[in-house]
Amino acid sequence: MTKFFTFSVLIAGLSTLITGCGNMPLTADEFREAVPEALTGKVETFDVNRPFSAVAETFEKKGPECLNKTVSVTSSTPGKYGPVVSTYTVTYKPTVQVKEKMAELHVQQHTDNTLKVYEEPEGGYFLLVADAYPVSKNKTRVDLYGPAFGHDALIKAVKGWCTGENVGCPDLTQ
Amino acid sequence: MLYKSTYGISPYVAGVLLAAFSLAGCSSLRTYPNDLEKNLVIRTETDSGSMFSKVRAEVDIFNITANCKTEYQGTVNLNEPFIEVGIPPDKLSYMVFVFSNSSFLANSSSTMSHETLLKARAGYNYDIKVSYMGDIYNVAISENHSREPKGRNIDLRDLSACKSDGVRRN
Repeated sequence: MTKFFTFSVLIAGLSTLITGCGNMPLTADEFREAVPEALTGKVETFDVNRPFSAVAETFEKKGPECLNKTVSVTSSTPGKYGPVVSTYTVTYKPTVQVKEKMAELHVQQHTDNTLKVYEEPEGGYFLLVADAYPVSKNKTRVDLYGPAFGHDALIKAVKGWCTGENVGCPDLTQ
Repeated sequence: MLYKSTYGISPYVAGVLLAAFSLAGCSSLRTYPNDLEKNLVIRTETDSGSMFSKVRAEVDIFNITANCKTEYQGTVNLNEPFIEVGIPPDKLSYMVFVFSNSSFLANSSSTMSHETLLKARAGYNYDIKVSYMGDIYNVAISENHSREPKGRNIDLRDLSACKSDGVRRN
């Protein structure tokens, strides 16, 4: 829950700190441009010893299977007249695009019943973009654009899909 | 939790009472009868990765009607590492694996679910590995037959796949 809330704050910070004018990235390209400049964003580049086609295939299989989800988190905090129960519902939207020499995984998130200070693209704010492209026959390079803090499970899962060592799904509530 | 509400009961006690109340009469969950010949083995491994939280796994089992509607049959609590389950052979079933995570410190709870259609073929057995380790979960199904030395992995398919002829025939 704490991580959940923290990320919402980071999302808000991402736009103001990076873009200055307070606009959130509305496309994957804008997200790629914004993240390296953001204090709350992080770009990681790493190579995996797997053919590009295998990485792309894993994106196509695991993206929809694991990330096409709506999750709810319920928390209870002390209140004046007893516990106050809050529930947040978040819908995730994965998009996978595979071209001859590039595979892209975009993850967006939409939170219900929250005040939208910034324009939200269709499908939700961009949370993560992973670009994979071939380096050699059995080596693939991955650029991962995402938050510097929070969403460890999502990042860990996407890295696992790239390496092929762990192809589980992330618990998106963590 | 360590504080008490103005009503004199802790939120923890209130939560337990609420859960008991739900289980006693208001919950729509019921135990799966599991009275068919056993054709599934479900192996479960859970570890939240934290001493302050706990993960519980269960699977809701549904029959699928001819027009791809679900009919809830019951829930199997996956609280044992090895559980045998029987589902109707040669008919589509829908299985929803639910992971419930409770954090004691944050006093929060959350659930993640992972669904699949499965048509258990008569004479075949199915091995389902269910895991939640740290914050990564997985459901993997393999199909086995005593006459075939090597099993085959079954891809998970969501409910929308029911409408495709391929799934209904397969």
